[in-house]
Parts: sequence; structure tokens; C-alpha cells
Amino acid sequence: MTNNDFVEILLVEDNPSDLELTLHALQHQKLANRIFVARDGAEALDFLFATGPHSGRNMREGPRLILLDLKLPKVDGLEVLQRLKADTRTQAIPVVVLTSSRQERDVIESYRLGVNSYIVKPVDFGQFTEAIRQIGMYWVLLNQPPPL
Amino acid sequence: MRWSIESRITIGFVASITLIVVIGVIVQRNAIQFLAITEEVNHTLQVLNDIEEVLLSITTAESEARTYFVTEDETFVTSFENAQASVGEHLQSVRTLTADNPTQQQLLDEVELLVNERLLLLRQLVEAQQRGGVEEREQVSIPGRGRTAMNAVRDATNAMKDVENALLSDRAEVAQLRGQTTLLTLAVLTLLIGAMLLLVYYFIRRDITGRRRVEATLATERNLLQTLMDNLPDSVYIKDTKSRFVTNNKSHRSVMGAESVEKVIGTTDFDWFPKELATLYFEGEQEMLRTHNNIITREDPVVDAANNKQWYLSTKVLLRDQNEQITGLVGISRDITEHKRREDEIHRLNHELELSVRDLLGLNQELEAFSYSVSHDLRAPLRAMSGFSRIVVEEYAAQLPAEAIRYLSIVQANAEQMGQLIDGLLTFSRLSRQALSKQTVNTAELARQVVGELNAEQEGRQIEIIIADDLPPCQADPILLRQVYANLIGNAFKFTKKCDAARVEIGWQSLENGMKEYFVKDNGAGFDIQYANKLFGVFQRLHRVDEFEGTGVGLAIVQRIIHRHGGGIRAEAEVDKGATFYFTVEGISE
Repeated sequence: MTNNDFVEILLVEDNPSDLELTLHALQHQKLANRIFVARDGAEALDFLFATGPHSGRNMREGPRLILLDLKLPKVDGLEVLQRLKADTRTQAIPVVVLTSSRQERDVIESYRLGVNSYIVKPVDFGQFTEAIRQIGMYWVLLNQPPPL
Repeated sequence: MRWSIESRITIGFVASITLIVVIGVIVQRNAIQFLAITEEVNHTLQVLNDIEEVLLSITTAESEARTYFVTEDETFVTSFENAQASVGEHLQSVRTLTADNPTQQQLLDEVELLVNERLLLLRQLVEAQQRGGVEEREQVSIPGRGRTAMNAVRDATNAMKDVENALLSDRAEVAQLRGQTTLLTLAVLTLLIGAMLLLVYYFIRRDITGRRRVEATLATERNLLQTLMDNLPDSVYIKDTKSRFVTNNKSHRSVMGAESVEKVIGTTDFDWFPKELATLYFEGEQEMLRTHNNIITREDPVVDAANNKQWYLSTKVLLRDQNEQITGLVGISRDITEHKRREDEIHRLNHELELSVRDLLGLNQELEAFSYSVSHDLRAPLRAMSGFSRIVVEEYAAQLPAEAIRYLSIVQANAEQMGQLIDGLLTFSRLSRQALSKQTVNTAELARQVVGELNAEQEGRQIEIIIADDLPPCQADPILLRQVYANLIGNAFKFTKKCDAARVEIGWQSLENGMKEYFVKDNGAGFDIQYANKLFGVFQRLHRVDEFEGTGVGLAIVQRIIHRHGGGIRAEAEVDKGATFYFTVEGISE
């Protein structure tokens, strides 16, 4: 964790308001400066597999947690999930789906693809902040991540 | 062994004819015998007659000779000689007639001897008179000698006569005996023939009576059959092996447009129906007659006398005689035009239904996409509204006037309200698609759990809650039934919040049809029953939000769940007296 380039959390979110609210909530966890934000599925995949604009990135530099929205431009969240769980280099990274969708088929499909947690974003900001706080607390601070 | 009437009659007649022939033979034989006997009798009479003639001729000769003796007329000598010749003839005749009888021949020898002796005496006298006249004759004559000779002749002929008479008597006796036997035989045979004919008559009579009875039965049955056929709504017809009509019933004739059965007999379908239809029927029937496969419920098009196109369901079955020879067929056809029309209608409706279902499925998919989009996209802006206004309030409160903070809190409250509306709407629409997983639910336990959870949110309100201990279990989806109780009990808590002594009762009652009806009863705000029809509509509310919070989806959800279970829901209420919601879970079939 001494490396400044190390990314604790990959946040994949296209909605700027949700992005800002999420980041706002994460600031309380002192995790906001170790977050990489991808604005669509394609960028998330490039970042994860160090391809395209991120071809120079060392894949060993995180992330330790992926917060993934499902409804994304270009490549949607379920496909991102499927791709990274199918690859031995990334399949160990915990993935938390953070989405507005309560759709049963999304929940079922996510778990089938191996998601570690599925959180429906509460509309109420208080509840939303609390949810983010708990996610950060559990997955980044409490949870023992797989060795890199 | 039982003999048929035919062989009985034949036997009777043959026996009778045989007996008649026997009678004929007997009669013939007897006639022949009778003739023979008659001849014999005649023969005997002839013999007797000849013997008499011999006597007569001798007597004549005697008297002629005597007449000559007196008259000395020579003509009497001739007469005498004639009589003498006659005696010879008759004796010869007797000789011939009795040739078969030795006794008579012996007697005849004697008679002949005596006769000749007597004639010789007479001749000597006649010759003596011719030679020497009366005197000479008187010299030759020996008185009494002639009488003696004549008596001897009479005695001898009498002996012969006796023999012949005895024969005659014997033959008459034989003839009589024969006649009697014949008569007896004839009588017996005639009686036998009579008896035989009587027997035959009896058989024939009995047979005719039997036949008449059978005919009467047949007539009755034929009548029954005809009545049956003519009153059947179905067409019935009988055809021969060439598909020609033998008979048919009224229904069939009315289809053909035939006035009477006489006009139908002997005709074929070609005489009554369009050629292509007649060909269709004809070929089907001929194939059936060839292959012996009956036609069972075949649908045939028919054009009736009024040129209406119809459909008939036909069954045709082979007819056989006593010897199992096929004589034709019997057909029964039922008008299924209406049935067919309905079937077509059903097909059409089904097709339309399929199209509608397809439309609905499409709509459903659109709806799902829509609700997905609502779920996902409508929430994000709300979260932004709620989140940022809250951040403003939390982080910039010091720089804002109190009014601005209040407005921002209104924004937040509304965003939250809209979030709830969206959630309710999604829950409601999901209910239609979700599959039910029914199982036995312990309703009492479920109600207690729901009450426990909701009570925790009541922040110390004192609510008297009564849950019937004997709340019966039911077959339902436990998650959905929990939603029903959560919504109803939640409502009960909500609408009693202004009561001093809130009371919520969860119970059940038995309906007349044996079904169990559950209820949730409160003593809260209630509502005006005239608005009851709006109770279960989506977003329909009977109270203002500032009186009682809510989205107007809860009861719509409850009703949807109950309906999906095949049950029903109703409400009783009065303003400020409380409301009771009754529901059944299982359909009437259970």
C-alpha cells in the first residue's frame, strides 16, 4: 500500500450524479483518493486488463474491490462481470454490484456470474450514504482480500 | 330327432300315396281273383246247364220217339235223331268242361254209358217200328225198361250235379271270404290314409298358424323400425351392393328433396346429389363393400334440396343376410353443419386469441422493458435530487435562510415519496409475472411474525392486537401471503394512529359454501363504503397524504395477490368506526 499508483477501488458508474454522490459518501471512508472511475464498461475492461489507453498499467496494482453499475454505455455491467470472472487474472477480485435495478433477472444473472454482493442503491441519500459506508467498511477494511 | 315341417309333409304324402298304391294293387289282385272265381262259377253253371240239357235232350228224344210211335210220322224220327245228336253235343261239352276234374270224368263216363244205353233202347224201338210197324216195335219193347234206364240216367246226372253244386258252394264261400278280407283290408288302409292325411293337415295347419304369428311379429317389428327411422333426426338409408337405395327415412328424403320412399327405391345418389358429391359417396361405399371396412364417422359435404351446403357425419355399416353374404349397407348421417360452423368459429377465435396472446406477450415484454427502465432510470434522478438537497442542507445550512432549508426538505420528502411510488409500482407489476409457489402456510404463525415486525416500527404505540389462535392454515405462496398480511396489518396500524385505544383483530370465519374467509379488522379511520370500488385501484387513495401517508398501491397489490390465488377480497367500513378486509385464498373448487 505504499505505492501511490495502487488503486483500492474501481468504480464503474456512468451517471454523474450517482458518481458524485458515491464519491461523496466514500470520502468519509478516506478512500476517495484511491479510486479509479470508469465511465463505461469498455473503459472498465481496458483498465482491468491493462489494454487500450491503460496498456501501460501494471495489473498487479489493484484494484482490490470493484463497484459495478449494471446499466452502462458500450459494454454493460453484466458483460464486464462475465469477462472479469472468466479471466484467471481478475476472477479473484471481489465485485459488488451497485445498481438501481431490483430486477430479479439482474440479481440472478449477477450471482450466476459470480458476483460477491448485490446492493440496490437506496433513493434516500441517508440510506445511500450508509450503504456505501458499510460496503467500504466491509470489503476494504474488514475483508481479507486475495493476495495479489 | 325333430323333423322339419317340409319333411313331415313329404313323409305324410308319400305314405298316403304308398297306401293308395297298395290299395290299388290289392283291388286289382282281388278283381282278377274275383273274375277267376266268376269264371269257375260260370263253368260250374255251364256244366250243370249241359247236364240239364243232356237230360232235357234225352227227354225230348223220348217224347219225339213216342210221338213217332203214335203218329208214325217220319218227321218225328228226324226230330228224335236231332235230340239224340244234341245229347251227344252236350255230353261232349260236359266232357270238355270237366276235363280237369277226374271225379266228374268218372261220373261222366257212367252217365255217358247210361245215356247211350237209354238212347240205344229208343233207337232200337224206332228202328223196329220203321221195319215192322207198331207190332214189331211192340215185340221188341220190354215194358219198364225205358223208365229204369231213365232213372239210372237221372241218378247218374244227379251225382254229377251234386259234385258241381258242391263245387259251386265251395267257390261261393271262397269268393265271399276273399271279398270280406279285401273289404277289411281296404277299410283299414283307408283309415290309415285318413289318419295320415289328418296328421299332414295338422302339421300344415300348425305351420301356417306359426307362420302367421311370425308374420305378425315381423310386421310389428317392421312397423317399429319404420317409426324409429322416420322419427330420427338423423338420415338413415339402406343401399344394395350397387349403392342403389333399398329404403331411407324421412330425414334423408327431406335432405334429398324426395316426396316418398317409392321415388327413392332403386335410385342412386347420382339421381339426387351433384355429380362430384355422388361420386364421393359412391366410391367410398364401393371401397367399403370391397374391403369390408365399415365407414365410421366420416365427415362428408352435402348439398341439400334447397342447395344449402352442409356437413354430415356419416357411419356406414355392411349388411349381411343369414348366410353371411353381404347384401348392401346401412348408413346413418348426422347434420353437423352447425357443429362444423362452431368449430370453424372456434378455430377463428382461437386464431384471433393466439394473435392477441402474441400481442399481449409483446406488450408484456415492452412493459417489462418499461418497468426495467423505470426501475433503473427513474431512480437515479431521484437519488440525485434527494442526495444533493441533503448535502446542501447538511453542509451549507449555516449559509441558508430557514425557508430555503424547509424547501429543500420538501424536495427531499417528495423525492422519497416518488421512490416509494416507483417501488410500489414495480412490486405490483412484478406480481403479475411471478410464478406462484403454493404450499401449506401456517397462517397464524405468519400473522404473528408480521405483527411482530410491524409493531417494532410503531414507536411505542399502544395497540391492542388480537390474533385468532385457530387461524386455519391454507395453500398459498408464503411470500405473497406475507405481503397480503403486511399490507393489511400495516394499513390497520396506519389508520388507527389517531385512535386513543387502537384495536386490530386478525381472524377468520367459515362461509356457507364451506370456504374459510380471513379478515383483518381495525377500529381506525375507516372510509365511506360508497368509495369501496376505488379501494383496490392502483394509486387510488381515499385519504389525503397529509392525513395518512401512502402510495395507493398497497391494496392493489393485496387484491392482485388474492386474485392470483383464485380467491376474493371485499371490505366493510364506516367513517371513523374502522374497516374490515375479508379475503379468501383458495378458489371455490377447493
